[in-house]
Amino acid sequence: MTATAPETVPRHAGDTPVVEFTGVGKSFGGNTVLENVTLAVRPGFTGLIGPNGAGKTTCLNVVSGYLQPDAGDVTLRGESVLGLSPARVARRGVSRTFQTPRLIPNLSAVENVMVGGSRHFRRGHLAELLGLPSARRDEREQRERAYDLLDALGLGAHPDRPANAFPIGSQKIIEVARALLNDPALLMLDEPAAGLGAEDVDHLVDGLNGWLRERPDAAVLIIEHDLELITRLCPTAAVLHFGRIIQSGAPKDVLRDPVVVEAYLGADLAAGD
Amino acid sequence: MSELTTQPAAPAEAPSALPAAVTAGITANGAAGHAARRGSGLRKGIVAIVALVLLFALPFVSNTYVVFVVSLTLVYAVSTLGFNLLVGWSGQIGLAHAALFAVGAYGSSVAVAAGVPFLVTIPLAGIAAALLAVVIGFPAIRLRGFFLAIATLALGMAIVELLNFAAPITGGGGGMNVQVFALPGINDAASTYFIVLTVAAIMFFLVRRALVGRFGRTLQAVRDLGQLSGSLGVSALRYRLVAFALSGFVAAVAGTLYAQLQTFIFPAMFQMNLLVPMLVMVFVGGAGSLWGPLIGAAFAIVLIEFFQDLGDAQAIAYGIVLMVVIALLPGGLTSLFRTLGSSRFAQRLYRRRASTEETS
Repeated sequence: MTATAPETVPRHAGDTPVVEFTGVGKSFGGNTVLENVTLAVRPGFTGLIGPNGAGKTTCLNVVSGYLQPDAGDVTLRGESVLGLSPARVARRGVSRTFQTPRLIPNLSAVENVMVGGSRHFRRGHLAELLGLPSARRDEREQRERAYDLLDALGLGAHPDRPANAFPIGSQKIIEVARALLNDPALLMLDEPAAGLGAEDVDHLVDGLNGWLRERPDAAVLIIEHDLELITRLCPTAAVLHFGRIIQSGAPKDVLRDPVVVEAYLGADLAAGD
Repeated sequence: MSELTTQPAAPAEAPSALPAAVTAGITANGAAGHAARRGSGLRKGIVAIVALVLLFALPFVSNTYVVFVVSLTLVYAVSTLGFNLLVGWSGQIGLAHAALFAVGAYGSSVAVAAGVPFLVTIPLAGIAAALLAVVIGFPAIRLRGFFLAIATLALGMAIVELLNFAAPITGGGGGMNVQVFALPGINDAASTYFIVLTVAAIMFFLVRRALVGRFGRTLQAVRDLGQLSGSLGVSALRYRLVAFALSGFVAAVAGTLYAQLQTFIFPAMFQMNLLVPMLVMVFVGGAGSLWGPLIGAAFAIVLIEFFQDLGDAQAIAYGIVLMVVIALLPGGLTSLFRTLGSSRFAQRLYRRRASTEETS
């Protein structure tokens, strides 16, 4: 339980991929969920879209260490993350949010955010227990950063309220702040805009843009059904359908592609719309 | 292919597989951690010190019976402090607590009989129990809910049973006498009381300090998010194991004091008839709260007086109390105070007082 030094990854500016999927396959029983997925996530925003059940969340789970693929490899800045536990992947600089926000209900918003910064505490719990000045400084610095992040994402008004007092949309933003406190090389957002009001979405977009400006070598992978948001944020988007990447490129072009239209329309018809 | 196919993919561990009522009890405990830290920290510190000084004066102003009862309350409060850390803060219903308490009581008493000074046996017994708790916790941290409860209960019972078998050292089922340590120049009861009070103060100070900071936050993350806490860079299994070790340490420290207080110990003291009231103390005080253990222990002492003549039916009576408390007061008594404090009636009182202050 000693303090583990942050496993920092050497950072290259430029256009080298932050994360690369190469031929990733995954099936549960007889169901193939991912099939030969090859995808390079470069610095900046990348969208991952597709109908329900296409395997988008499975992709995130494969990167964050919750699932091991049956085939292929996933690398973070050139190093494979396969076989690492979720905690180790996170300590290498991968953060994520969940479709439904998972916060600690009775901790305040700012303390929830602070939970995300575990790899940046230089001192261990023993130093904390003894009340050493260095441990107090860690705590103070992380608290400051957490307040700043909440501020930047438009939640600066009531940072000390318990998390369960916030509406769902705000809880999702608290989750984003928690993910950012990890100072990730890769941030993965699973439907961040679902359940958010237009104003909240603007705050979220501003906050993420501001954060990316300071970290030009970091990548943000967004799963989202709000295609307008994807078009607004992401220079590139990949479309996943039945576990396969069927198209990728600039969102505007991708969304006009007949194969993609077919996939979405087909899914909509199947869903009974 | 529907959303169903990705469902098994999602790390869909329920926040915890505890019985719903128990989880309600744990989460119903509002922002105990951050409320304790916010504002008026200095004033709270002063209140704590004044209370401590007043408690130290107790033997000079009251009789031995009162001193004994307060000592016992403090011992149970320390034990509950450890149990609450495991059950309330880390969210694991580990039921070996009475056994680890017994390890403290027997470990200390046997070591004292062998010539080790009593004060030295307090940390030693704590460390021994912490190691034992790690052994118990190693399989247990992978289990949730009822499976965790049953596994730890069985291991705990095995430990108490071992005390029976180890008759040459422990006196077996017939029990053993405890050599009571007395501070020079002070009578036994008062001396034990001073030691109990000092150790209790230290344990409360340390555990509180651990829980209001990062360690407490991380434990709560592990409790509320389960394996999803991995995505925050936190190893849930490691924190669960540390919670076992710490609660075992605290249990055994309380156990050493308990032996000094009872002066005679036997294995049957540490079975269900102790474990169930221990659970009552956690939930009456409020699982996951900071000062709940003190309140829970005081409440249990009253119950012990009540149920004294019930004999074997005691455990049943405690079980009923436990069920009633979880059903009616899921956050424990500490949450009751908070609920009352934020009730409309109390708010009106505050407002009236504020307005009279303004007008006067």
